[in-house]
Amino acid sequence: MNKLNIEPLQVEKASLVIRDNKEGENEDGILLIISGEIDMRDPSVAILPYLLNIHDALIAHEIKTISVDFSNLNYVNSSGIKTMISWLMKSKDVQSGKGYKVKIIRNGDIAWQESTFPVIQKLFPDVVTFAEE
Amino acid sequence: MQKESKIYVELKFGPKWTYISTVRTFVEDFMTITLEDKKKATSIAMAVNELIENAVKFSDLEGSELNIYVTKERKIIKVIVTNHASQQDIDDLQKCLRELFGSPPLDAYMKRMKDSAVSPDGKSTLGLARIRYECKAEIHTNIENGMVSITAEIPTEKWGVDHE
Repeated sequence: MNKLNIEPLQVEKASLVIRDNKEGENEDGILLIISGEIDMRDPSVAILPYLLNIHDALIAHEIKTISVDFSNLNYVNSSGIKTMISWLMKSKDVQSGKGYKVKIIRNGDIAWQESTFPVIQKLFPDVVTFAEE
Repeated sequence: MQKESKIYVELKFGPKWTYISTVRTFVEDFMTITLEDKKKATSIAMAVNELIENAVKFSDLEGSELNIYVTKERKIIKVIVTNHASQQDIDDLQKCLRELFGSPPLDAYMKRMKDSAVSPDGKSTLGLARIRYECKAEIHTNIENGMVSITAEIPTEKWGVDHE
């Protein structure tokens, strides 16, 4: 079990797993691995509560960085993007000093990741960074 | 007019969510063979997915139609999705489209991202904004007798992210 005590989530073709991140600069960080496909009708019901649970736990544990590994997320529909934005807006709303950064691990071979993530980063320049590829 | 294209798909299906990923996978395979470029094929399949999701969400009758035409020299992919919709949904769509086309693609896409996150009804047209920006698509609509046709004309050469 990870330090946030959050179980994995499997919903339709999508899988979300939390792990403690032991690598490099993020020794105190958390790694969220999102894989499969997010193409369900309403991810705001299926997935957003899980992400908000992670948000609350990050704040409670005063963790400053979460890495999110999307490298095996093959597809996300616009409702899935909406769900990610809802989460990122929540992290942006946290009072300064108490928030956390979201480091995106992406896969340049997957078309949607190449075209969608730069727009998300542009929308949340203070929150979202990219891991080196 | 469309039959001038020798490469095409015409598909009619009941408005059921469970068919959407199957159609997306089929289109991706079809486009991979046609364009010999897996990433472009995946992007076109994404556009098809977004359009038929809208059709399934808002169709009030059976029988949504998907038509894909590849123009000569494979330079434009024309995706047309047609469904029947209620007058209320048509009015909502027209309002959203006016807002969408009132801004450049990236601005409209970013605004839709923010607005959709606080919109409970799922009628944000984020999918259309996504196709318009990410696929560099021209979007056209035709509304007649309760039938809504949305056309995305996707150029296969002008690809990638704008560095605006």
